[in-house]
Amino acid sequence: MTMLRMITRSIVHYRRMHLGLVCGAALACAILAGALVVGDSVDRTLRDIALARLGRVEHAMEWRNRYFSQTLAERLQREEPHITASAVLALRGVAALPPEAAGARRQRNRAQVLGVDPGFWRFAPDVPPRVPGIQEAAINHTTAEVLGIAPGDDLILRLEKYHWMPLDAPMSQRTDQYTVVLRVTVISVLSDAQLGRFSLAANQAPPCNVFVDRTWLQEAMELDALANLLIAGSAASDAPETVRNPHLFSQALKRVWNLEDIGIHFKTYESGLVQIASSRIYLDEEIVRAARQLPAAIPTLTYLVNGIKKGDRSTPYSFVTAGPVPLDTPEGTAVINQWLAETLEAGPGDQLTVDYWHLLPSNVFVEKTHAFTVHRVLSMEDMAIERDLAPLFPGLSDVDTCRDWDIGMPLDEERLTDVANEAYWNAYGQTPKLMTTYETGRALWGTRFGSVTGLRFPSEAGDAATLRARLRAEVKSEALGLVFSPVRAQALAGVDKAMNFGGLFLGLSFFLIASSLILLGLLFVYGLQQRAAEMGLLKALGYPLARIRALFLLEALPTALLGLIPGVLAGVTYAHLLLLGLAWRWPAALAGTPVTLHVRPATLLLGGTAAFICVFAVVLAAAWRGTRHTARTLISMDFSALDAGVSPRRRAGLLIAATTALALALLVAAAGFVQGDNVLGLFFVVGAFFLLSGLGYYAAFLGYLARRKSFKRPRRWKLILTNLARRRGRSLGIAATSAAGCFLVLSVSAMRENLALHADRRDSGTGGFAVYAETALPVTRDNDRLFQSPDFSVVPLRVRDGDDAGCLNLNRAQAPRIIGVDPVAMAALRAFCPPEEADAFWALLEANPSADRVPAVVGDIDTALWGLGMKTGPITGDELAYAGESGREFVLKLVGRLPLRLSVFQGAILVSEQAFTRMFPSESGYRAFLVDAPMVQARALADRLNRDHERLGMDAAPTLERLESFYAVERAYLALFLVLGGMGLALGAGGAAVVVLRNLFERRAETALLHAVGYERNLLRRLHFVENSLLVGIGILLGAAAAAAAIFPLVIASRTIVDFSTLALLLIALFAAQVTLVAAAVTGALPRAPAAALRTE
Amino acid sequence: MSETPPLIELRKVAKEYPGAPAPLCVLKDLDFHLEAGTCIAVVGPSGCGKSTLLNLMGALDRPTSGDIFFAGRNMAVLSENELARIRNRDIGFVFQLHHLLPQYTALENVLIPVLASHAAADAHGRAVALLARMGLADKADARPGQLSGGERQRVAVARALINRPRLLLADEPTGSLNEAAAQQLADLLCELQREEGMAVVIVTHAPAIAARFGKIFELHGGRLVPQD
Repeated sequence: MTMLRMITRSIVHYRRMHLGLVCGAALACAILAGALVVGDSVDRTLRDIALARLGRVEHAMEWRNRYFSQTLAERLQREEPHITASAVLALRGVAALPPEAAGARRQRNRAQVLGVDPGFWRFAPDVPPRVPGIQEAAINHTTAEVLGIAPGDDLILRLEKYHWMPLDAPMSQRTDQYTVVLRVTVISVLSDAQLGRFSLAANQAPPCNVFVDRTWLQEAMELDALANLLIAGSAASDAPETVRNPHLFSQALKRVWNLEDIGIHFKTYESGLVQIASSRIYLDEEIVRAARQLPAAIPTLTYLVNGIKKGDRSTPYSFVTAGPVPLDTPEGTAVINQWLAETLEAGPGDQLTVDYWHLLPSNVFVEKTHAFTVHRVLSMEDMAIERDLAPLFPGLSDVDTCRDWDIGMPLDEERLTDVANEAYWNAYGQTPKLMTTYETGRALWGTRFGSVTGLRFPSEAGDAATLRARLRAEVKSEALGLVFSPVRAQALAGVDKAMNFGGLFLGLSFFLIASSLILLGLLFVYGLQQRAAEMGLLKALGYPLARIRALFLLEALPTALLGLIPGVLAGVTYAHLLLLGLAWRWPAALAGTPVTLHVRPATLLLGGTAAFICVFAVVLAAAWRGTRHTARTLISMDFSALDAGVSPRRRAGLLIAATTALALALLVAAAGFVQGDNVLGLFFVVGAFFLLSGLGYYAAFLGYLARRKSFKRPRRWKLILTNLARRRGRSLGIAATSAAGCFLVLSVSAMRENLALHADRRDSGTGGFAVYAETALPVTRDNDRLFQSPDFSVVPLRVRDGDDAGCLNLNRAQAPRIIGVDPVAMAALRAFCPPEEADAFWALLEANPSADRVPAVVGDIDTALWGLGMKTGPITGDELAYAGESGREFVLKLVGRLPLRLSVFQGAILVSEQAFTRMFPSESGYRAFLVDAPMVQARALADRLNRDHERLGMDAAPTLERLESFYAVERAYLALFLVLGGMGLALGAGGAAVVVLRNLFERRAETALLHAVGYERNLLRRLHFVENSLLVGIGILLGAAAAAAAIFPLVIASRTIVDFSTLALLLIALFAAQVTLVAAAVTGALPRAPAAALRTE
Repeated sequence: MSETPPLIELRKVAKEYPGAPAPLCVLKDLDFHLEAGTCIAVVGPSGCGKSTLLNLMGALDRPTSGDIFFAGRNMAVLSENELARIRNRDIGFVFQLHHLLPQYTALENVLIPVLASHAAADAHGRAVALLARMGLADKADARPGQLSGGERQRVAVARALINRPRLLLADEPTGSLNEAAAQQLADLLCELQREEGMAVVIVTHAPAIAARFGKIFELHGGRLVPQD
């Protein structure tokens, strides 16, 4: 006889007990592994989506609102043979059905129109059989589904017209067409493998893509040979790993780019003077910086002023230039031309005043005046070259008369007709009337769009080729934004840093796991109790306690391990069912993303190991407890002795504790009512105290029952009640477990916030605004009637597209969306925070800004906590690095977050409008709007806005609906928690049934006696059924009562929306499950002839 | 005028238990009857079937063959519920182990059989009186765990008598008691038999105790043999 033989014999002999252990281990393992598999499946799906949206693209250089030469891609490929590159013209716009299309009018406001060349498709794992040609488009499934179109159908694309100067710039062209409308015929619907999902945004939601021929799109948009997205990678699937090295890509790009790629051109004049200008009018800061490193560089800035006056003589609308003044011109003085000198009768030493528009960050023009002393008068011949050197402003330089001027700054129609000025325009065109030093001019007329319109080099500085080479060498390409981002690595990082769904589903399955372990523990403990005599005998025979415990552990663990095999398989099934449930009932939980089952052996191993550890802990605890009795007690196997009850003193203590808990519950509830707001958590505490109080009273009552005197009128129900006290600890344990589970599941699930309550208040998540609207195309104050309606007022917001950091994006946002707000306007409205805190809060956006450090607040608490996972605070707040335009890096300091769990700004970061325009000057106009109107009109107003501003790609919705769409995620998880928690409780009922069986087993002699003295079997069954139903029912009752205490005040105050029918169904199902199991246990365990047990004596 | 049937009558009763290689026959062709108000003791060596006999008489078990009549009613044809009613109203049991329910007081334990049916109005008073008769008036509110072995057995006797049974079956009631307590209980049972007028069948190993219960039968070879 060896230990091994002892163990194997015991396993075989007590196979029923071990079968229970196998089942328990399998159950725990299934739930643990299943939850982890769900997490894996979500992760894998997100990863698949991330890879599908990029195809073979490894790196990308994305320029917004500016363009580079498409030849850059070709040079890059020539430079580095391993690199495959393609230049894409990526535009945002509106995709719509043509007007003649039958059915409802449908359009997609945020469509991505991609002008691609044949080389683009090399990045697709599966090249489409035919690529779009002229006036043809390939669309993806989302576009096809949203618009209900198929190959052969026509599609209208409305795209924002590109303006060489940002629309907000003072001298940008305004009243020209804002959009370009194109009509295309759909030729194919692309699959994910055909790059139909192509997008750089870290988001699992499929974009609405329309692929067209690049050349055709460039012509239509008047962007010849230009692109704004450069993608690169190793199109060959067998490319060496070194190709993925980001350094290789960046170095190749550095080598091949040239200044013409970014619209910088050199012009040599007869005098040998070379001027560097930009097709975007204003030169990049980096170009200016680099150029000024070269000797003799003269920066110039040309501006249009409203008027130049001397005394009562004046001339309207005149070009002025800063920079190209004679070297002896003192700072602050001006050089004027002959025409102006004559017109104003001004000469050297005279004072002139110049009126000009100054553009505020909010795009409001403020007229300012500056006085100059005339230093010198230059002849018109001397000034002749300036006409050629002045930048060509579209809408200004290319019209015949002043009356045709078409620019952003306000112009007085009457003054535009000034005859003398018109004559000047006809004779001298853009020749500046006044020139001053560069520094003086920059201070007056520099804007956020730039401060240099030209760089001049005298002939002695070198010819254009020399200057081009020297400038090229001086410029840091990355400072111009000529830098690749490792988009593939970023996409995978976004997935890796996404929410831990395995952990989340483990949390949601908490009750299931706990219940399975409790069940397992009960099965094992009772199994051991049956073998108490064996333990006692081993003790009596002198076995050390450690060895006895080891024997039982070694006996249990192999069977537990055996249980892990079916457990792992069941876990996969559980995960599959969960995913089906998510897709069918709670799609919002994963933001509508269809998740496919993905099973990783490592995860199953992890789940199995975790389950084994849990089972081991439970078995160890059970073996520990089971063997702690004396040998005599164990041999006599008498575990059924009545609990002694509690002493009156202890009972009094219990009553005091229970009453204290009740008082605390009432106190906290009162405090909650007084506080009035943000009390969801508070009432949860109330419920918890209520629960403790209930359990305290129950414990005291059981203690009383165990020590009470005889009933004067004994009745069956009184005796049943007394039976509850027979095993006081067990009764209390069952009640506490099911009460706590019931309370937690019910109260958490019922605490669904009523977003409609206080939605009209400024300090709510809606900000008190009725409608939130976004447009696909930017809107400027002066070009849209959106701002002029008498029915509502609008707070416009600037938008820099980025990753959604809200709950609808399952990926971790890499570069969250930025919204520019006017903090002063927000503070004045007392919006999105308590009125008394509004000034201080919104002032955070303006506190201590520096050139590169921008204070920012997160859109709401959920975004900060879950979307970004970052700290916020004026001092302790985290920082986010952002690439601004022209490659300049900004750091957003997260100084705060809106003090709201949910707001219409979820997923975004707010900065002041001033900071926004400084960071992204070319982001013209406004693309988001808070519309102030009576809340009851929200729906009608949103519909009206969508209808009236369809051409802008308007997406307006009541703010409350927007909040509801965000909250749908939380609501889905609450519902899921309810169901999984309910399943856990139902499984807990299984544990209770085991207790019932144990009770019946322990009391078989009692049952036999009752049978012997004449209790009919049916009566015995009824008595046991009622008694045990009461045992489990009290827990449910206490839990439900505590949950009601927690929920009721909130329901009264309409702060939560309680789905009473679901809760009632859950309670009924729970109680039914418990009672059914009790009935089954009683029926099954009650012997046909109970009294026969007495015969065995 | 019809003849009053015996209180209990066993006709050709046999009882076998499954066993290897052949079934174990404990009782065979046993004929026996007991008139109301009479008192007998059954003795015999361990394993001879004394308790089996008592279980059959008390409707706790059914014979393999033969019939058992209680007050003229063939118990073989009665349903489980009818048998339960007979056990409750007409038969009282005293077991070797008291089988008191630990969660109830002594008084409540006595009243347990009453609660199997509709409680008689005077049940509480009778239970109190019975406990007093047993010398346990001051222990009515005590739990079984607070009583001595003799006291517990006396409570069990009171419980057996609460419904005024016509037949009291006592299966070695003194077996777990010391000699003094055993004598005391035997005295009590004799007195109660006289007071209540019920028939008593007591199974015992102790000849001295058996001698106090009138007629003695020895169970031998599966049959009851009267002893002189």
